[in-house]
Amino acid sequence: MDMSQYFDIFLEESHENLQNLNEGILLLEKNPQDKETINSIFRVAHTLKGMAGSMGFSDIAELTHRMENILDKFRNDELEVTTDVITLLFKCLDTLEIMIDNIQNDKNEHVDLQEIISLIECIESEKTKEGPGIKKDIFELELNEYDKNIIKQAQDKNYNVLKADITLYSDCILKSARAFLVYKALEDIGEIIKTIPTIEELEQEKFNNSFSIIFITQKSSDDVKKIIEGISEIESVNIQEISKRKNDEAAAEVAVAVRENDKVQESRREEEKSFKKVHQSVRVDLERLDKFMNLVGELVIHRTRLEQISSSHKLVDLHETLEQVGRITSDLQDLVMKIRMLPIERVFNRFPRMVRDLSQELNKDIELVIKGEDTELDRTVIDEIGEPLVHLIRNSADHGIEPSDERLKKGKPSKGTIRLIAYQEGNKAVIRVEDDGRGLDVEKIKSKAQSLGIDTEGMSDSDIKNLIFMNGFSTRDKVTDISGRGVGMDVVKTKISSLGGTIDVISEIGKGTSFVIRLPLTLSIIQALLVKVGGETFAISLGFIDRVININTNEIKKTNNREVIIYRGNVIPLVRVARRLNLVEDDNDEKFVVIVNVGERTVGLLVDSLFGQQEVVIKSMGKILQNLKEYVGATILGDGFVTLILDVAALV
Amino acid sequence: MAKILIVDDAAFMRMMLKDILTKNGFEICGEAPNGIKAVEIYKSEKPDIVTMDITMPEMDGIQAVKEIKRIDPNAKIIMCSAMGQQAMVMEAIKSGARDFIVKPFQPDRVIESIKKVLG
Repeated sequence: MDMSQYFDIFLEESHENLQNLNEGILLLEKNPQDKETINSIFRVAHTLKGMAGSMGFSDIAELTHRMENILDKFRNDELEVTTDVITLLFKCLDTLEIMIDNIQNDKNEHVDLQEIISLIECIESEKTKEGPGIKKDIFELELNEYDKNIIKQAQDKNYNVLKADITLYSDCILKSARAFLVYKALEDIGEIIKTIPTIEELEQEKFNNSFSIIFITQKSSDDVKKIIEGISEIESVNIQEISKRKNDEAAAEVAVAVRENDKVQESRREEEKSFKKVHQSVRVDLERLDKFMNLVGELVIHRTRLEQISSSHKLVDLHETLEQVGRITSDLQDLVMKIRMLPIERVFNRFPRMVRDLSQELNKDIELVIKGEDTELDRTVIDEIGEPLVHLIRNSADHGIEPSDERLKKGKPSKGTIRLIAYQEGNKAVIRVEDDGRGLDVEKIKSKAQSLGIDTEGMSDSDIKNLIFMNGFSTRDKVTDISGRGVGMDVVKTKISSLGGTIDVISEIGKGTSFVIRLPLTLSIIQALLVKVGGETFAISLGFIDRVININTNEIKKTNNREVIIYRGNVIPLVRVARRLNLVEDDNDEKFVVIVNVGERTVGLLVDSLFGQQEVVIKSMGKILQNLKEYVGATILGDGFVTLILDVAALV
Repeated sequence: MAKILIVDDAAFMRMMLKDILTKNGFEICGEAPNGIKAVEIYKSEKPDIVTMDITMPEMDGIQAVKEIKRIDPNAKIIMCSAMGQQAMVMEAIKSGARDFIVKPFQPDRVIESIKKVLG
């Protein structure tokens, strides 16, 4: 059988399952007694094992099988949930991830499982408690592993597992249809696991007058008996409870629990239902989505061209149609943008595990608080934002949060907190990484800056703090495994600006540090202001623009060797875009200043004239020109000319 | 006493069923020779039980079951089948028929089925 067609879905689901395992095991560490958590972890591991097995990845199946064994021991109270075991389970997950990544990247590397398996065996043999041994060998029926597993799970959930032996009238005609009536009646009240003989044989009437059905239900065996007896031409019904037969004690317990837990189960089933609803989705190849986006982009370009033609020829009837087209294309744009959006949860959900590992590694007590994980961002941003966030969180854990004793001395709670908060602000998404650690030391940064030859004279405290984003800047004397090589923050900043975003740091010494990342919600189509500088037309994303004012060049003042303007009593630094781009400014003294907000900073961009606002589609400039940092891309305007889009963050 | 609607294209079959049922004290509230008529009478008479033949002109029994179930999800319908119509009986059960009786009718089986379906 050709399995390659299932490859993509296998990989995707495996990653999902690994993530779920990670989350589950974290949860388990917090509530070691929660059987429901163990069960759900078990289920996921089992799914993964099954998938890997059917894809022929026996290594993965083997390792997940070993994990299942451990989980099974948890479940039967044969093994205690300790940090050691949890760490081992995490190790297994990491190994699985490597293996799956290898498959994904077509690497033929063999991951040696010997070490980890011997570790597992060690734990299994060392810590095996005297288990009560319930639920073993319950089934004398011919059930396979899979069936047994389902039965076990059902029993753990306090469902009844029943076996109904049914005998029809000896002269019954259309026995299959009769059996089918029974089958359907049972299906209505529960879930059928197995029939003896098999369904096919029942359908083909290959049975005498009796057959058996094993099924899971919440009804009592008496109720079930009544239901089956309500069907005509049935000679006799005999119902056995599978768990009861072998272990009365456990079954009695179950029976009591069933009654008590009715409500709990109700709500649980609700949960399951809502869970299913969330997953009603279609998986689409990202490439197709990109293509779709691109086509919509082209459509927008040509719409603007048409609009231009219609207005220059003053064609009223064309104009009306174009308005319709305009509405539809913007709806389409909205839609494709939304389709590409994913909750940032995708990125955030790996951090609890990371912080756990960090706090162990650094021997600090750190709690991670996540908020707003349902904030949605463009798929591309989601894919790219992970690494910078990892850096920031590592920094916070390593440099920010102090060791417990130091914290206690300062009168802070011994447990440090890192907050990861996401929310939407206008057409921007904001991600904050906050810690309540020691904060940035302005003096230290200043002296470091001076040693690097940077003049900090006249810089505000907040400007000085933002120096940490410069290349080669680390105030930490000691380089640790985790952070502090001084390559981190500038990489973070570069990455974020390449996504069209900004990052700022707000910090108070002794109280903590917050990194504020602002990202555009979407990358491909933006509203832009078209400006003229030195005879060229440029586009500036409206997302950055606060306002536009017109000034006369003689209003430009100088302070500290920099040009500024004074607007409503505020001193705003000025950037002459023409000079910055090596263009010749025109002689006109009446100019415009586009006031932009880049993160916490406000800067004025001096331009010659304005053309107005337009929707533009950002096209990448290709590999050869990608080193031009001043531009985020290019776009095609209504008149068919290509215009560059200025990267405001890089200009100021 | 329960009201019953008999649906069968053969008047002979309807008569036979009617005899069996009335002798056992059931009231026949209507007879239909095809599915369309059956749905019509079902709407006006609201019978407690319908006996439904499978092969009929105009609208067959399975279609009629689906229609009636759509109007009244709680409708109680018993299929009347000949031997060898297993697949169609199953189809009818899937569509919501509660039971089936097999021709040639045995009175005790018919009555058993009706009583059980009435509950």
